[in-house]
Amino acid sequence: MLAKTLSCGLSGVYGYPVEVEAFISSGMIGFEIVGLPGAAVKESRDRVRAAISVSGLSFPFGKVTVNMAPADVKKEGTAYELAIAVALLAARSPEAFHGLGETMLLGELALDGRLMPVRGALGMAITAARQGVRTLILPRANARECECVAGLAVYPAETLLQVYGHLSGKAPLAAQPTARYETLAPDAPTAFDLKYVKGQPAGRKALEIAAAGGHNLLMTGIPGSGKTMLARCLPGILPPMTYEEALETTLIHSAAGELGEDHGLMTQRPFRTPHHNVSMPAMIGGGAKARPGEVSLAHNGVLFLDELPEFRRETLEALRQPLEDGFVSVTRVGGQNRYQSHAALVAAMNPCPCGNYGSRTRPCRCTPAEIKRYLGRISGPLLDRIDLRVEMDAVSVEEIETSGTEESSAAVRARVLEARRRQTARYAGLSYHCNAQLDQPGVERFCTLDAAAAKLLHQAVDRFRLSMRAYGRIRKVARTAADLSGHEAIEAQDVALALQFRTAHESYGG
Amino acid sequence: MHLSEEQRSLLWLSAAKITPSHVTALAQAYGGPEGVWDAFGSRGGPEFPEQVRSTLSTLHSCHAMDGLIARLEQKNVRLLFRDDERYPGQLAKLDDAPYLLYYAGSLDCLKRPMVALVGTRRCSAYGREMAGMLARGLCDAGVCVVSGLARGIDLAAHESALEAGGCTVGVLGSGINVPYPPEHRPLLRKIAGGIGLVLSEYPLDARPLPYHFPHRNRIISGLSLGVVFVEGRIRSGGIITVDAALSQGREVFAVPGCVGTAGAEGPNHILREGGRIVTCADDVLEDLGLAPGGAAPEPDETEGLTDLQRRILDLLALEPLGAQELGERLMLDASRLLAELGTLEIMGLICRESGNRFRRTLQAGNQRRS
Repeated sequence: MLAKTLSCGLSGVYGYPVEVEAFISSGMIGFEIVGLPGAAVKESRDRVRAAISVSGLSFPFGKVTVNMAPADVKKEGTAYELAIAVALLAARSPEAFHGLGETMLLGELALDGRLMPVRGALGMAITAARQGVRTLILPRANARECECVAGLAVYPAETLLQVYGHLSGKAPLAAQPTARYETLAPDAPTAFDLKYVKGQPAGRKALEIAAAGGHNLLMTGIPGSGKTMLARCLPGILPPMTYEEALETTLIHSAAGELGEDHGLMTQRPFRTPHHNVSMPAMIGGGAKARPGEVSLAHNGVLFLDELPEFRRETLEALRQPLEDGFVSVTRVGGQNRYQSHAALVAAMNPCPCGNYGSRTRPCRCTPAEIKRYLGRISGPLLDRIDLRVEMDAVSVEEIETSGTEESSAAVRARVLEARRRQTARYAGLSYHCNAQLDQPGVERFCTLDAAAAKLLHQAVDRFRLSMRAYGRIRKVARTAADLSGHEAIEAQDVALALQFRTAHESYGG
Repeated sequence: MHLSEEQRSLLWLSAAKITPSHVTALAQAYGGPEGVWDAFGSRGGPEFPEQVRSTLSTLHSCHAMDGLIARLEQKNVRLLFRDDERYPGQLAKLDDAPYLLYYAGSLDCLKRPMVALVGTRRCSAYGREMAGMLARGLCDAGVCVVSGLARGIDLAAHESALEAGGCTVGVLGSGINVPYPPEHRPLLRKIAGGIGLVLSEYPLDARPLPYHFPHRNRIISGLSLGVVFVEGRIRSGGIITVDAALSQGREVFAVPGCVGTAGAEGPNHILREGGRIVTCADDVLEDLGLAPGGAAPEPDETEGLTDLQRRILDLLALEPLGAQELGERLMLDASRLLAELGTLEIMGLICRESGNRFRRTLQAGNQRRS
């Protein structure tokens, strides 16, 4: 007596189909799983046995063998348990089941027969649709993330018994209604709006330029000056996520098990704030189970590193490649996984170890050598990838209270969208998407200065003793400033504005 | 390097850091420094604490002394004894003048009138700028700038003097081979390699011990006609130098600061006690009876500014302001204002302080005043 069901394994963010075969023969009573099961899959035996019995169904009598094909790939995780249970039931009474060949089954079983959510359901659903599978049965908690996958009927179930009822045709389940991405309101307002950020004109402008040109941003300021608050506003002034972006981001979150239960496609850009003692695998991705790291979870969104100098040096060094290339490759025994990582880096730091340097009310007790050592913890190569550096104003509470209303995120976003549109038109057919990606030839070609701007920039190079690298960086930022103010060539005021976004500390490397 | 018996004995005593007053007393008791050398170790000879005795006895042989002299020559460090005619006269008059100075660089500086600039190691942008401006002005008038080669005010004074092509004297509180702070070694080389001078009364490899510095300060003031306290607290090395200057009968100056800031405590205290007020190098030159340099006024860079830029400068003339406050007073949007501030910064008329406040530079202030 043989039965076959279809399930799915996870490799990277997408799935690969796994056939689950169950065979019952007479002989010594036993239950074996073959086909390179991992530890969690081996433990499935006890959960499957209990779930079937508690659900009031009968566990097959005899020698039970379950095979999972392809048999040479190691199977990890608990998503196969529903498929195993159904295969066992079908092996016992094959006549009771319909359409097992074109139905993919996903879900972990609890001892009482409930279906528990699984990791990576969206990626597996997309794989199923590509493989020509017509229906997908999965735990209810995972249903919403799959509602936008085209060409696939998704049936959410809560218990093994419901699945049995559906497959045997006795009590069919209701299909999850499909949703269109546009109806999920991708540009709904966020809780963090620039209108609540008081003061900080330079910081606000830096954030706007960062959003418009895709530049990375470093904020320096005393504790409580609003660095984190400002950073949290960045997702809200970036353009709304497109369907493709939302899909990419949700795929990664789903594969990492970070999506949360009953969560549809992500419509808001992610904002990740890893703590500064984060390990390198957690930041970049990897570990024994090869999960995406923080930089991938921030894909299409913002990676915020608060207290930048406190991060481990090797963690920051490892961040450079993913930020540059836009993807991370994690190689493990089982193969290579690739996670996308197009994230805007926003970093924040105190001006000195005690944090009070530049404060009007609290004295700083750090020596120049201590400050130098503190700033020196950030490597030059990483700083080179941060075009915008802004020092926060040390504002007092009275000043905050007296200041009037501030511009809202929506108004800033409108300017950002217009600047992005200009860039898209300018870089059509080229490998660049935004100003931050310009390389040396790109800077020469697109960051053209008018006569007054060129004169001003040369004066600045002399006065501030700017390095060649800083010169290129300022031209890129000036390009974005010009895009924001609608100038075709970069004008003097764009250069002057861009020059505000260097830090006063010369040790930042100019 | 040829040394007389007396000089060799003084070098030997200096290697154990015997103080000038102690050396005078010893010389009197034993008939000159060479008498101390002869009597050392014998019955009835001079008695020293254990550590000093061991240093002295290690060097108490012709061979050891030859080795020490060879090492000084190898490091290019020379000796200046008190009876040398090149020994600065100002200093020689003091009771506790060092009997031996180790030096690197050119002694010609000592012929010029000298003024000391002293202050805190943790200085503000204002202090740094004032020290630099004073050092440049003094150098332009041919005055030699004396300071202590420390961080902060000292660094600004030495560097600006070098930039202005003037001469500067640095007095160390450690051996010349062990400069403190260590990162100032290149500065030391630059001073000694040019027309400047680096001095120390401590032996070549003496470590920078805390008690050296207050002691060293009497040399800084002793060399100078006047001492300018630029910035610092009331309890600071700068005040020690000022006290030394007063007891040596030197003129004392102070740069006024903003009341309430830590760095203004010392100078304002001195001003209240009757110190002379300094706002530019000419103030010092005038009070010391040195002719002001009379340099041609620099071209006025504030010409050709827009109305808006002038208004920004006028607002900043009163106090440093942040972009937020400026924006509110001028009713300007952020990008326009930041661009104007950037332009003024490039022109060198304003500068950015920590905490992102903008301040008029001294350059702009002076030009508007004249």
